[in-house]
Amino acid sequence: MLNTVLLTLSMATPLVLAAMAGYCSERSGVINIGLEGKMLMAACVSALVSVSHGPVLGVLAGILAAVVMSLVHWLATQRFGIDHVISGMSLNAISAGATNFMFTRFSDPDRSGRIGTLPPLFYQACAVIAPVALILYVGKTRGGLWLVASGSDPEKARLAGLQPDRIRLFALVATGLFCGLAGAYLVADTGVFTDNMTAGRGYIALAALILGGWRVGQTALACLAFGFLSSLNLLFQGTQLGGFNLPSEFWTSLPYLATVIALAGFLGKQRTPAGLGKT
Amino acid sequence: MRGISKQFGRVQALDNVGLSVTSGSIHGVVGENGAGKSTLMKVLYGAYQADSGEVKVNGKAVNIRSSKEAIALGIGMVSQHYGIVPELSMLDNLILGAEPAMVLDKSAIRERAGKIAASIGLNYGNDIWDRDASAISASEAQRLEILKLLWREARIMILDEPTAMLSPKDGEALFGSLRALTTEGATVLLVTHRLPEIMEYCDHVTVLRGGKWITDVPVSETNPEQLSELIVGRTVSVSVRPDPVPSAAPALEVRNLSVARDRGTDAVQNASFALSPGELVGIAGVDGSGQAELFRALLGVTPTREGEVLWHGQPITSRSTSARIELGWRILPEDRLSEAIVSDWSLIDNSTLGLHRLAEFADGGKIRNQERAAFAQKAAEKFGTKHGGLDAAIGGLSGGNQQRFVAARMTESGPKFFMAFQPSRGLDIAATEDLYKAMQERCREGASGLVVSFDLDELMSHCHRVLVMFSGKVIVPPVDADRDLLGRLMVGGEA
Amino acid sequence: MVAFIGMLMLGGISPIEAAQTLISGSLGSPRAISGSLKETTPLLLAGLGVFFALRAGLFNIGIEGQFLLGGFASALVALAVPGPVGLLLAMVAGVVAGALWALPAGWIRAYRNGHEVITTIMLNSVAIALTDFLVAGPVRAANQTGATTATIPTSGRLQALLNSPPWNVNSGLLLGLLLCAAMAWWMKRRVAGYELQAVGANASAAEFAGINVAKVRMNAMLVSGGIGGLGGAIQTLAFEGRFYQGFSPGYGFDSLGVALLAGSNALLVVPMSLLFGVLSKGGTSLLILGVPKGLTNLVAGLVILISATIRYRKAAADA
Repeated sequence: MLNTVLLTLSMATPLVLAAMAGYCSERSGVINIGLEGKMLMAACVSALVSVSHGPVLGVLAGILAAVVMSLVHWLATQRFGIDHVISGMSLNAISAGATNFMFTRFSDPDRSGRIGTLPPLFYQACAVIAPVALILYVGKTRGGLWLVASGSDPEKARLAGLQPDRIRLFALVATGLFCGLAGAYLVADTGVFTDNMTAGRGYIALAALILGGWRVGQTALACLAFGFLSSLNLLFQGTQLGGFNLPSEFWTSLPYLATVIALAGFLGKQRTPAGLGKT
Repeated sequence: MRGISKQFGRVQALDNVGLSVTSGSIHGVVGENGAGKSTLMKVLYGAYQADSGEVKVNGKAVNIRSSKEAIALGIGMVSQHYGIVPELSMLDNLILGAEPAMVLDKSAIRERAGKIAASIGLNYGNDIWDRDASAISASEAQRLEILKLLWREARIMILDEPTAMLSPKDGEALFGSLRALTTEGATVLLVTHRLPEIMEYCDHVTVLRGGKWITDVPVSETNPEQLSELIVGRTVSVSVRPDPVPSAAPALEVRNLSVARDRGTDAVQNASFALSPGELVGIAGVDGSGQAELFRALLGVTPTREGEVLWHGQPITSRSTSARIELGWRILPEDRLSEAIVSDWSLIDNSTLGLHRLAEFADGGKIRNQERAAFAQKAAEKFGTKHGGLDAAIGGLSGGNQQRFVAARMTESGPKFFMAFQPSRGLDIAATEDLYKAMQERCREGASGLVVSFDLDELMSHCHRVLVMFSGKVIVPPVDADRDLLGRLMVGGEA
Repeated sequence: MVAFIGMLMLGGISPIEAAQTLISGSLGSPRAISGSLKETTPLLLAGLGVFFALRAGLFNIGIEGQFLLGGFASALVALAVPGPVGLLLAMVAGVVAGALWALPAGWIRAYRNGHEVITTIMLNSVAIALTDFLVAGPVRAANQTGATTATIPTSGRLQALLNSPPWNVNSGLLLGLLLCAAMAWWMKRRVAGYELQAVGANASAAEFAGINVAKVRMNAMLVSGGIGGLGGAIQTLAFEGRFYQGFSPGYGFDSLGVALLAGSNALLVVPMSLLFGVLSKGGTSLLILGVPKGLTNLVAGLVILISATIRYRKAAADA
């Protein structure tokens, strides 16, 4: 039992962090499919830097990398008016290619054993603090109000004297921060960087965000649920469940199926921020 | 305000206009479309800078360069298109942009908000403040806008057409709140085209027409007839109207048509009218009286809440737009860029947009390129569209030329019924005459036509009959209606 | 270009050497060219699928999943029904499978206005999971240990167009070219093509023109998915002869790039897919130099981003 709980929390941590990253971005009105790429880049960079400069700098470097990618996304969508989706997907591809390159080019085949990292507990704590902080921020501060206003109706927000561009800039920096943490956690948890290690977690985090109706609390719950599913997948692999041998693929596709059903409107009203994608 | 002038390109929106308002009063600013009232208010509010003239607030000369500066002086404006963010609560909307601090003390905010609401007679509890702004009614949105101004401590409040979407009862409640404000010393500037409001609620009224200041009188010293004359102007030229058409079984009949709106009262309320074959009928009215919604509903693009549309006796209310096009309906829409053309496409491709399924241009499912090109040529020549080749993108043409092309598309495609919205937009006098001549020709051949325009004279000189739309209602004036009467009806006066 | 060279230098490889290897590896010999064309074929078909949806204003990122389902379905049918009849049925099965997989996304976008990007990405993952599972278990070839179906006998497969070693070009490529020409013709000459492009260019004007926007969008997704499925079917029937885990090395994203670069002209999909095909084949040979496969991925991403920027800058300048 305890095993399941711990495993769930462990699986859910990167999801929660990535989902919070997605929240910051999408709530401000910027569609962000690029969570996957940012996480991957952060993981790779943090691993590489940790080897030579120690864990703390490694994490910071990873976060920086994710933030840079996030800023590129901001530039592309807000300044150049590129479609948010294209930008996100391109950044994912660039990240996949670049990390693959860096991985094969720079990894040291002689080195075995763990890279120096911060303890996973640090990240798990972040994963708990982040949602709480965001809820407080959005509910109780001026900045939070501005964030939601920008994502809901940037035109009307401008009428009220806000500057959605700048608000989105800060939001995307936050996205980079959280993605960076998520990516760094993946390395901290396993001790190494492997090619394409995010394995779709960025998309699952996005799914959690959608299922959670773009609300922090519900998104975090969705992440926990997905983490639970992943842990079930690991625990029950190979064993029979009520006479059926449920394949691991079943568990892994459940989050995606649920999202599609939700978007079809069958899981209650969809609360997409109205200003998503608008300037 | 004194000697205010403002030019936009070649259009003189304001010409030496003055406005003098005493504090604690409700002062009406009245005029037709293009009279300059909104522009004048925008100058006061800081959205525009006047080319010349001066503004004095409380005796002191000021230079208002932005809405921020206006607010700082205590001047605030409530516009027709409410600046309300739907996903935020009422309370959040209230304070957006004018938050007291970085960290929000919600209870203190609620307290102040409650006090402000009470000052205009509203008893708002937490349940109302926390309500999602997406679900509120038009009058509630209106009131929220006023509360926003009060939150920002505005003492001079400009309301631009505030009752556009309100029912008479809500309108009364609104003015009740405004009165409560003025008794406390605030000043209200009411921009409107509706006479009844002026007569009922204003202390003073300033009339603008064609960008010029006409007069400034206390309401007690004038009457509706006099005012409407000043607003719409006297009949100056003799209009050349075509002979009336013998009435026959109607080609188009509209019965009790109502079209809903997102918020507030119906955009079109219980409209009933009929067109005989061969008639060119104009719909006059101030912009925003429901013409656009009526147009869209007749075309079948937006659904109707209730009522019927009949074509030669057959109900077509539930039939699709393409079915109506098939019956011979042609249009010249209001918003060219989003409703009539694809700006990246060539003139040839655009020439059959809407007509592309007709037998003339489609053989089975195949495009008849020759016929299309020929039609494009014809349409371009009809009103002298200046273009750089039929294969060039239509987006490269000037607005006027685009309009000529789209207008020709309507008249040269064998219409049995056509609807034009502000057809003369972008056209000079000669082109406008040509267009109306073409429309009249089509009518002589048996078609019927509906023209929506904000220019009463244009309609009166070219149409067989003129209907009036005011506040969502279609008014069918008596046969012998003269310009004064039509003008009065346009602003809500009595027949 | 600059970034590519930069990365290479970072990795300690001479760019010139890399360029030479790339070109010789992809175009330097009949075998290389055949290989490039082989890579081009699925990109051409998937690219056409994405292109079709794109013209209607829709982003069919789900082409990957549709491709997989098409490849899978066609493998099953071809195994079940031998010979040329089976071949034909298998291709049909591929089209149907792809279209069905695009159906939910199409419906959600047309009638619920849910962004098709998200739905298709999700469905991609489901497609991968589904086919992985099926091919590892229920439909696994009896005599194989790997996750794969049995191999289809050559009588039930698409024959080579040109088979005189070292040349080897499959008729699947020809099918792709024919489809491309057909699509270009359809877009230009058919009323339905006109309506599709109207919806993609200006949906509200299309409404005023009497076009049923929802229906057009729905159909566009179905056709797009069908083409993607056909691509998968051709991949199975022409090249692979079976379906297995890892069937598609990410043709999906590359085809998005292909379609975007093709702009508004269907015929351009051919050269663009060829470009990506060459990059891909050349990338394989670069592996020998120690350049990881991911680099071509990276270049693809950059190309798309940059071309999108240029396109939008130009549009802004025109406006």
